Amino acid sequence: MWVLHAHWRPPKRQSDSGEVLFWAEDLAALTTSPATDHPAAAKAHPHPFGVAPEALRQRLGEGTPLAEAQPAAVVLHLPSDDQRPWPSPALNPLYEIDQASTPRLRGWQVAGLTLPLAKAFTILTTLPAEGVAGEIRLGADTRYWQVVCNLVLEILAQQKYLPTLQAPTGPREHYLARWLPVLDGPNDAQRLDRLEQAMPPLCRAERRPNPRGTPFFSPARALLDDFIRYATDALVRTWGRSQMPLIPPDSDQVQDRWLEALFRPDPMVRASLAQVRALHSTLQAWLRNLHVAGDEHFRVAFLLEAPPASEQPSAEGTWELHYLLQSRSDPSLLISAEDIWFKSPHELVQLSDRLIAPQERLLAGLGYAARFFPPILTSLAARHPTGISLDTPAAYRFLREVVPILEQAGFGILTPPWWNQRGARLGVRVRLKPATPQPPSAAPGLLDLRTLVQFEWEIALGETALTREAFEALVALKSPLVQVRGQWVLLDSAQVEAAIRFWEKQRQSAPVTLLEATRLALGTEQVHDLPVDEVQAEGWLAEWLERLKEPQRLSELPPPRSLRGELRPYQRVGFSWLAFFRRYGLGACLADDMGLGKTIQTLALLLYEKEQYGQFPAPVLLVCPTSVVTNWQREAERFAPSLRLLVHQGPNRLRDEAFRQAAQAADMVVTSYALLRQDQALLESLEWFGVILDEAQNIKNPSARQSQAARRLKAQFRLALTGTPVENRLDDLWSIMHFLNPGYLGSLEAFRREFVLPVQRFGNAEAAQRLRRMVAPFILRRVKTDPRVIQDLPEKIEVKQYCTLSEEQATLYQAVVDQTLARIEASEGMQRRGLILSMITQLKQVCNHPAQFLHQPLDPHRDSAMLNGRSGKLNRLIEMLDEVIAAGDRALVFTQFAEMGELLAQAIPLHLNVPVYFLHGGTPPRQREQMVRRFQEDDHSPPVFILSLKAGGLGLNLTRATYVFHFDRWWNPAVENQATDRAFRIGQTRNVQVHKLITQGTLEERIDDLIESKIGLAQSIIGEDESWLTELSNEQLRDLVMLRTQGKVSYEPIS
Amino acid sequence: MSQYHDVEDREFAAWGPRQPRKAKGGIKAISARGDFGKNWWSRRWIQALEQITDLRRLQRGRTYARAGQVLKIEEREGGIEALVQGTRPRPYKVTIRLTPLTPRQWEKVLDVLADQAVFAAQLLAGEMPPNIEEAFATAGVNLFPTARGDLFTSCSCPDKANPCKHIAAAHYILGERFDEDPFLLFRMRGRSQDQILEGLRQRRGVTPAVPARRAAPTAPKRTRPQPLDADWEAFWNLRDDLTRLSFQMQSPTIPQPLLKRLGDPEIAAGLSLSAQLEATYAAVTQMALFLAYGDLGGNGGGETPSPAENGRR
Repeated sequence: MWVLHAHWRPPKRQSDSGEVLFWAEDLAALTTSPATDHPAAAKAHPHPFGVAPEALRQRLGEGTPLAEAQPAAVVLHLPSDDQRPWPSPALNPLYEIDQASTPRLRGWQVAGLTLPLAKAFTILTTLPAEGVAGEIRLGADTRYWQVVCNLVLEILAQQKYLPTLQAPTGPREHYLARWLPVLDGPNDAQRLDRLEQAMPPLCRAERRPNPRGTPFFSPARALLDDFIRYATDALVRTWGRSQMPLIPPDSDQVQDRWLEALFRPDPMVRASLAQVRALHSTLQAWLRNLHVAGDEHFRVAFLLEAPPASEQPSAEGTWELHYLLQSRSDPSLLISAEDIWFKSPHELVQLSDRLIAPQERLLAGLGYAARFFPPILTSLAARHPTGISLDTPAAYRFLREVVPILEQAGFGILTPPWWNQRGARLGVRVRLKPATPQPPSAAPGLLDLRTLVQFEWEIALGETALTREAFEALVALKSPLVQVRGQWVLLDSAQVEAAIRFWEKQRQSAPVTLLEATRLALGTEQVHDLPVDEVQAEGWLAEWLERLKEPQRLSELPPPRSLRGELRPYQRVGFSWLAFFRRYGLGACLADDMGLGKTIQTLALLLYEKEQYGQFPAPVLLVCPTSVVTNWQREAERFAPSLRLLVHQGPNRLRDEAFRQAAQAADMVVTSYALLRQDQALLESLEWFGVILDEAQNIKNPSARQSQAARRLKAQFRLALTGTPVENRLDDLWSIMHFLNPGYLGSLEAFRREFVLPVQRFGNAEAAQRLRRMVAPFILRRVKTDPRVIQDLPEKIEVKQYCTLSEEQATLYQAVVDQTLARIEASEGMQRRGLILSMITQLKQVCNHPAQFLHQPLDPHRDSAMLNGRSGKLNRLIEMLDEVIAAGDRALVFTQFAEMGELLAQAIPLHLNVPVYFLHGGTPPRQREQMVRRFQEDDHSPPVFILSLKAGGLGLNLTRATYVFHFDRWWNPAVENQATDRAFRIGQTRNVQVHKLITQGTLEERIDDLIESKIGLAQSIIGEDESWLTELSNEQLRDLVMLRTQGKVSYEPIS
Repeated sequence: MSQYHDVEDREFAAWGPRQPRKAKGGIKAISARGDFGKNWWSRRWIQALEQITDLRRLQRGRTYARAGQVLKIEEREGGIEALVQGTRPRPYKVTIRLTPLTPRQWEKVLDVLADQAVFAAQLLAGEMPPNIEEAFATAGVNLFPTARGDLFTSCSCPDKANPCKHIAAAHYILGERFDEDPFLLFRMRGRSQDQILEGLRQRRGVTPAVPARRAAPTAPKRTRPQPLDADWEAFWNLRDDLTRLSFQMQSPTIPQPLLKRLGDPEIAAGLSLSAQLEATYAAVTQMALFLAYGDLGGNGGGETPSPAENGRR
């Protein structure tokens, strides 16, 4: 595994454009390179586990500019011990260095491939953030510059740059034609501040030469600014060249020489010094107005204050326009003109230490703004202008005409709070009426999103519907701003015209589909050029929309009588919610946190329906990962024994007609995604009552065969279950929604352009919110920290996770049993005891992972293929950890076997792309302390802590974890509980979930049953350790270890 | 043959109006035809010269200014010094100076200017306040040269007349500098921009006891030292969750927003920077959006609507 770094090197000469050095750390080299002492010497040693430039080129070069890149080396100062630099954290947890000692900064010669900035930019923007094929991770520096590249792309797309002429800064420099990024938008200062603060120190690890003193590490801001500046310039130069203006080749005009230099690789302007200076003077004068609104810290702002309210409709009143300075990084920091004129410099420093020449700042801004708004000019006749009074027409002119110009120029504008808000302008109120007065009966499938509803609309001012007469009375005041019942209202001419058109149309109602009505009700769109203020629904539609918006307001259904077990209060809400969606034939997604009981809520729904119907019209199909088929079976048997279940799995599963008949006789058919693919035609041939997808993120890839197969199943209702926060994983979301309610989110392409990229890559909050509004009603997600959930939850939840053996595991298991049992039966005494204990250990190893049993060496290349798809337990653990990590939680994983711990420490980072900690008997105490401390205190700590049960059982406080997994069983509840208590002890304020992984049909399950039954044998013989097993008779032993399985199962690799 | 031509050329040159040597790398006037001066104050400046110079020399001066005969123009104390290429190989040296105001006169002027914020405001916004001349008159002095004795000019050319065409040429070029920087005129009268702003600030100030200086009590952020080894555990990590940082990846609502905001610079007559660079900006937007949405497999960037692009179709 590699960690790929991108190191930005600003140019040494002003006329160059800087370059990026790509280099990588290699885990294999890290673990094999000898730890030799490097005495502190003047010369930097080569980085001991860096990837050779040529290897980098081979791996990444194909089809990218790296193929042609020059090898180069720089000296980076990295935290190091005496032998070598610390590896980056992606490698760190696997290579356990002694981090407890304090490192020192030491220079290391780092070799890699270097590219000019423009070429490096394409690589940075196209590298997938999650790394390349699981084998190459991106270092924090690479990810950091990727984010900065997004900012540069925004500058370029939004055309926020200007052609300029840059004056020389040194004696040997020249005037240079440069494209200058201009970042003075409302959020830009804050964004730059955040980027500056977020820069990993690694980015600054190269010493810059300093002609006037000692070399230094560039400040973050300088590196950031340089990157943005040089990238903007280099990219416009390159991308714009094909569309550059026509310039006569022999022109001796300095402006032509300048324009030409804006597109040449060499930015020097080929004209005489006098000409260039004259041009520079002209361009500087031109650029002056760019900063007229303020500097990087403060800008001039205008605050408009409305006259006090009056009850009569009127347009009278005096508006006050106040002058201020506003902080860019903290927009709530406002300094009034009074303060600027009359406070002493000392007093002003108290307000902000970033105020530079505040009086001149304010004056320059006012001088500029006065060009567009004569009242400001009038106010400047005063010695200390602080504002101006305006009548209503002038205030309106300011708001409507001047504000856009000033905002564009970078001024701050503080309008009255009601400005452009609902109620302070014309809007439309919509009424939705069901086409049928009867609510749809409980019969299935009556309602779908194509059902037509009647749609009526009227014009309103906030809460009040406006009659045409009232409207005309307002318009007759002939003022764009009028007071109505003490509230200022904007009568914008475009909206007034829209309203007049609206009344002329007469027709104020139309039929629309329920889908459109739903979108409207969820708060978007405009009607007839007027914003929609309110949507009122009548009849059953009202109830429907209400419930859609607020699942808490659903009327709760009584739990089905046939359910064996209690529904917790939030589970009753969830079950009622499912029933509501089921009743209206809408697809719903239950996305509760792991451990909150999605299974029992689903079973409750099925029992409820069965009680309603007496008999399902057709069976329900439940599809889940192979690893949880057993779990479903066990849970159904436990909570809903009256459901007739057919498990469709394994090589002996029913085919064709036999399956169809058995399915018809069952209430629910449980199968896996693998078989959904394999038996697609068979499953498609049935009409299902409902289709339920468990772990629905399995259909996240819309073009995967199982996703297509799932969509093609015919059913009256559809339900998806998942513990991952689907709302944040937009790719999954579309696919799941497309399965549930086809068409609601539009095509995948449109969805990606409209939502996925803007939200995930560019952090567009507005798009995220719009999407959330649209999908929120269809997704019910409770997290375990939710107060309504927490009060219903016990502090500790223990869950058994039943897993299935893989085919390889089952074969190995059977072989061990067959071989060893015969030998045990033929032996006695100490030998027999030894054989029994050895067999138990071997069987447990098989249940864990074939690689553990076979003692296969760890793959130095960390190839995932060696571990993947061979262990049902590992598959299940990875699935569950995925949810834990996605929710931002932390987990402890206990195993008795150090060897299994190694395997887990290798498998988890590979599959989940997170680092892990691994604590075992050989971990030195200092390192152990360090890991525990970081896990408890550091936000960047690995989220998963693997402990060998012996090493981790005692003394440690790991309350940051809220999940505990027991990968294998100790057979002694006391020991297990001790381990569990690492997380569940004093200081733990949250609920803890304990998951015990048990392979079904094996001795693990049998012993668990014994412990649970607490009768006879178990209570009396289960002791401190496993020695009681050796006391069993041959018969008892055979019964204990014999493999009872419904059939072998083939695992698919976890993707 | 070639010799003969040479002779003829030289003789023709001797008969006709004497052409100056073609100047290389000279400063060409922005104004291509008609009157010089964009703003009222630069036109006022030019008037001052035109009142005291004969028409022929003025016309020659304009031609010189437009042909780029002014090789160099630099500010000197109280005025400017220029090199103008004439007929001789060695360029002529031109100086233009104004009578500086005395410190007392300046005090009076500043008193008047401080009375209304508009003076400082407009000067800082790059404009000469329209009523500035009245303000100077109130203080009993002139801002623009009016009398002959106010404007000192000299030229190293053999022409006995002063102002000569070389002075006129430099004067016109200087007028265009005034357009860009109204404070230049004040400098020629003996006070820098900082001195004037400082004087005005003192007169506005309420606490004359505290010397008002440029308030920058802390060093700007970029020079503050940032140790690399302050936090070892953060060394390799992003120190902020940047996933919530928001980017607006779309074409601008109005194409070339900054050029619209600033207007076209007065680089050369008839040159519209926004028109010249329209295609460039559109192409860059298209490329940027392609790169931003490019992983849609080729149909993303292309379909993203771009007003700039639409406008060109």
